[in-house]
Amino acid sequence: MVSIVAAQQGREEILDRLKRELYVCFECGKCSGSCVVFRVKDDMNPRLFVSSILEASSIDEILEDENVWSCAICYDCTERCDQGIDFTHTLFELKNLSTEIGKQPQAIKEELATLHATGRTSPINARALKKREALDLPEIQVPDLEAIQGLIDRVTSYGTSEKKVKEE
Amino acid sequence: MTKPNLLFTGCLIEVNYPYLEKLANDLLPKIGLGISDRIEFMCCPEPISFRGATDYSWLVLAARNLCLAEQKGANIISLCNGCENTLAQANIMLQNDPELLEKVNRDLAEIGFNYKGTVKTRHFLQAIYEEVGLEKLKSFVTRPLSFLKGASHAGCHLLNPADILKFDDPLDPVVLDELMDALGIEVIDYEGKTLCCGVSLATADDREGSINALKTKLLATQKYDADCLIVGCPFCFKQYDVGQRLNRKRLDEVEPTPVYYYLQLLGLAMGLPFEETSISTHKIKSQAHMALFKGEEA
Amino acid sequence: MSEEELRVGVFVCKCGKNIAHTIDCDAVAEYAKDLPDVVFTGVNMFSCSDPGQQEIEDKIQEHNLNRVVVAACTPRTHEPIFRECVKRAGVNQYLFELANIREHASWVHQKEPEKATEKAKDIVNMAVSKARLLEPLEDLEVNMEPASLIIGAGIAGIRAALDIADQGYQVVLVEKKPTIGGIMALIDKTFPTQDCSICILGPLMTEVGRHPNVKLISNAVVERIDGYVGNFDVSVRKFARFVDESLCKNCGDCADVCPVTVPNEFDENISWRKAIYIPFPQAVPSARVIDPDDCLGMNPITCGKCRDVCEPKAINYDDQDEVFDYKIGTIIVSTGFEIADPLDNPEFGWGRFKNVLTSMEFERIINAAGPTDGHLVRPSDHVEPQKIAFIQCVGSRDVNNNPYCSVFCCMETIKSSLLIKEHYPDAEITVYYMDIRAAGKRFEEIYTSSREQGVKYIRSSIAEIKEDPLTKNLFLSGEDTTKGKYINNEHDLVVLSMGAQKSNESELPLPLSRTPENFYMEAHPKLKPVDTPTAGVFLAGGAESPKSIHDSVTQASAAAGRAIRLMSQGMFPIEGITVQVIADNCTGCGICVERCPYGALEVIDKKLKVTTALCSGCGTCVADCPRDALVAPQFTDEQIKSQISAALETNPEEKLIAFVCNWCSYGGSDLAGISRLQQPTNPRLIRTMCSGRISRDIIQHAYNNGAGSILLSGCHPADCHYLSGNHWAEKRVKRIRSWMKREGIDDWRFRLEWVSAGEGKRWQNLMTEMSEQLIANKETIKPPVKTKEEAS
Repeated sequence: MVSIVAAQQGREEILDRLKRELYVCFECGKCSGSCVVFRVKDDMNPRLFVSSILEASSIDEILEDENVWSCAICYDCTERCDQGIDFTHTLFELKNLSTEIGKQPQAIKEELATLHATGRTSPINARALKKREALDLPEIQVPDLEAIQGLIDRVTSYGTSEKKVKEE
Repeated sequence: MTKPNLLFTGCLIEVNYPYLEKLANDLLPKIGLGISDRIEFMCCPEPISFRGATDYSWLVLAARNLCLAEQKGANIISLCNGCENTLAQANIMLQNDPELLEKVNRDLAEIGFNYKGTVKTRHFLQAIYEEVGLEKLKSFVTRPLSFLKGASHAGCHLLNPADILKFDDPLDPVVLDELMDALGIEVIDYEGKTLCCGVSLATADDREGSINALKTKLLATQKYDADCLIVGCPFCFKQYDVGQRLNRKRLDEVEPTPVYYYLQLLGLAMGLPFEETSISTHKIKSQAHMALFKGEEA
Repeated sequence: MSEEELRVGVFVCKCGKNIAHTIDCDAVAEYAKDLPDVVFTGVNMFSCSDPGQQEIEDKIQEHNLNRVVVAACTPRTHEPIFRECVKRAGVNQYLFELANIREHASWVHQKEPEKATEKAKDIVNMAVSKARLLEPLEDLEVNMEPASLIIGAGIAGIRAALDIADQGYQVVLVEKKPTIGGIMALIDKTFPTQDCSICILGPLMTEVGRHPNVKLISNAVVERIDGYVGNFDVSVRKFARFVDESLCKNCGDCADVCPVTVPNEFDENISWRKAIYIPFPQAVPSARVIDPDDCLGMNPITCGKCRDVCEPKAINYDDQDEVFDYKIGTIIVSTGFEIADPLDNPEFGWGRFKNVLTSMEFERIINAAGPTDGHLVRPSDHVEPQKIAFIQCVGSRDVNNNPYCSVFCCMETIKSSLLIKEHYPDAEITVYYMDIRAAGKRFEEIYTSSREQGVKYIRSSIAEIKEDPLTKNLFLSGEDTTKGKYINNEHDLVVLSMGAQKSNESELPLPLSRTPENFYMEAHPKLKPVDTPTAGVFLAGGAESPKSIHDSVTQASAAAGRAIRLMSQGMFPIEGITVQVIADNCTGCGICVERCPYGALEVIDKKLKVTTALCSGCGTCVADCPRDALVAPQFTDEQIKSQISAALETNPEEKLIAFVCNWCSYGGSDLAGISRLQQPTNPRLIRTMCSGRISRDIIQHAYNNGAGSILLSGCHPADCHYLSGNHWAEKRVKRIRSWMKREGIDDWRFRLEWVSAGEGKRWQNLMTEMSEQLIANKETIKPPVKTKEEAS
């Protein structure tokens, strides 16, 4: 059900493939009806999103839509699609592509930077350490940060590092 | 021989809610889920933003965490839906796709790791439900919390994708309800059980959507006279607790509804002193509940 | 081999632009001129048209042709036409060969005209090679029994039975259930004219039950069908009913005293029945039946109440199954469909939520003869519902369950909405749909009428139903796709408009092909929609595809007409391709006897005897004869090998030789062609009647001539047109592989695959995959070692 984005493909090929995966859509709206986000945010409409991907002339045009990042990843659309479309995965791909060109929302940028800098998403602070001490919990050890950063830099496709190495 | 369990606490609990880590360390062994000494995992990594940004790195870093458990010959019990979602998905992907595993292992080799695929990951609710079981769980309850009218919120990322998480029926989740019932809590069935808490939207800078989700959920529970929400995820917990406080003005049609993390209630039901649950530190408090929590203790 | 001089004529058909658009037909004709014994070549615009056929006849006479090749389309539809054509010109019809350059070339290589033309030349070369070796044959006539077996007595079976019986033929009508009538007997009203279903069906049920020419056997299955068209031997097992149909007065005294109550499956399990029961009041036969699984009287010590009260003494606990044998000329399969399973769509909560009904449950509730006497109430509290929702396409148009449109459900819902409005004008009705398909006479009219009466139609595929735990009302969430808005509407009753799926009745003892969706496959989707590839067997009703009552009846009458057409002749011509014996070579070993599923072969006193009328010409016996004592006319070893040699004359290492059976795999390749599913040009297809015809010797011949790779393809295991030919083909694979190993031929160069006539897409994938593999590994193919056969 889930696969890893094929980083080798060019953007045009990706657009072609996305369209091929989506052309079976008959716009029944089961995805949008299932979508926990659409329920509270009516411009995040997966059905119309699919149709705009089918009409798009480039990946960048699709990435203009900030709802690329509005998925709560609940998988309901994927589980229920009568045509077998895995739209959750389509959005994962689009988010990856969006990050490659630095279009991710500010909050995400910050989270990525934090994760890169500390190996965690909630950075350790003095208050937390105090709380932990009071509870008699051990100190949080920073994991092998340098190795992790090296790993992230080597395997990520987005630009956190100059050392970006292409996959063979 | 059963494997030892390692607690996967997760970044948010470690920093914001360390008392939940403490509760897990204290309570789980008491009900028969042994926990080995703490080891230092890194971020799971986070399945929404980080995976959104970079699918493959997400997988490699998750595999690194799985390796740490594998090296100890241990399984993982996680305290957070997000962590469980990442670890379970990554684990299944690697276990079912030898080519992918090989590729990931080539990258892990650079930092001296190699994953064989032998680790089992479970959310703590799942571990309690499957390994302890309802009957045995009930035997630990000394103070049934029958005064609570609880609405369960299992959370999207523990329910889906169901074929990987294998926790409950995502259309009609009942496992958390049954676990609440075991503590004597009056379970409130309500239309809207599977609604999202909205925290993922906040993560992606969508404050408006996030507040709407929060409101829709709280109105749904209120309609059926629930007096608290019960969760097993620190993110959902934070959204309901801090979110209600921060957006109080936008939620004027909603009664402030306290939210409890399951382990806090498990503790109380097992006779743990009220103070040790840190419920008094919540942003949304019910004086009535707190009195009862304390009162029964006396 | 005949001694006369061979004079081959080749006619290349343009098929308008169907062939000529891709293939240079003139070049193909020009090429054919140089083939051995070809004395005439021509190009036609439409060979099969009257002027086209006339031209062929004229040229045959003008040039004194004695072998004819037409390069056009598939023999599955056009061989009979051209055979008649050459026959009219005085040439034996079996001296004709069709080269399929349309389905196998022009339609599937539309982007590669040059390669397609080259391939067409090869195909013509193969056909000419075979034509040169053809021998004249004569057809045989067999007796035609003036009796029909009709399996399944729903509306289609009943209609067909009456049509045939009224013409004076005998009918054996077999129904699995204790009553006839099928689904139509259970529904309330029918669209588009709102007639009461049982009111129009009931009289037909009675009529068929009493018809002097109809032997109606209910509570029964067809256990055995042997023989062939005109001469089927059929056994029908009638299960013990435990009530004598001729004695039972249907008074119901028995049910009054029966202590066992179980859910009534004829009421969709929403009401109860006794262990001795009648399915519904109008049932035919009008007699009670005992369900032995529920009855306590099977042990008379425990209970015997019904027998004690039965005045006519109709009840017999010792009743046994009976088996009846019949001699049958034609068969109509009308086994129907089943309603799709609502549990396949758990998001709608059927089974969890009491007030979610299937359309069949709704039909029973709204039916005046149903469990609530036609009073519409919701199951949770027996209160009349006010806000009723219908959800369309449940169990249809869903790749995870049934991918097709079930055709009747839109109209059923529209009909039901009108019915509710008629009885409960204030009820609010909402229909949630993807597309309303009202394609049929008067259908649009009632769709309009439904909207006029205030029924709301919202274009939304409902995502999920949630139940209010307090009121048991239902919340339907989805997107109103015309407005792009999220909806979460409250209703107090929901009806799931269920689609249809193939009936899961046990397999019939007939070699019928199925579509990927498991419905029975017709002989041709347009021109032979009620025939099957098996002569004398026809289809009617929902067994062929989901359809309305109107369409079932139409199809039933059509099938009856087709059956009568055969029976009215009194005789049936059998193709002259039946097996021949070379007595001098035969040692009477009897291997062939084991191969024949029809009992056409027997060894008497070490001599082989063939009953030609029983032979279907599959050639499986021929392939396994160790002494070359058997010959399959039209598909002889020499003919097949000549096709192989012709196909491999140039660049053999790039060619994929595909042996395909006539009924399934050739049909699959045709379907790929009709569907224009583009493929690489490497394959060269050789048609035999059955995959069982292809011997190891033939495969070896292909490798010895340098074939790049070989596919042997037949019907799926249970679907063989000749019952077991594919089984014997599969058995040879082991020996083929071990021979290949000895010869150093890589394993990937041979494949055995089952492809049905419905699997055009699969054929395309298979051809593409095998061709790509062949191209990728071409360099590794070692040139063949010439055998003695070739060297000489």
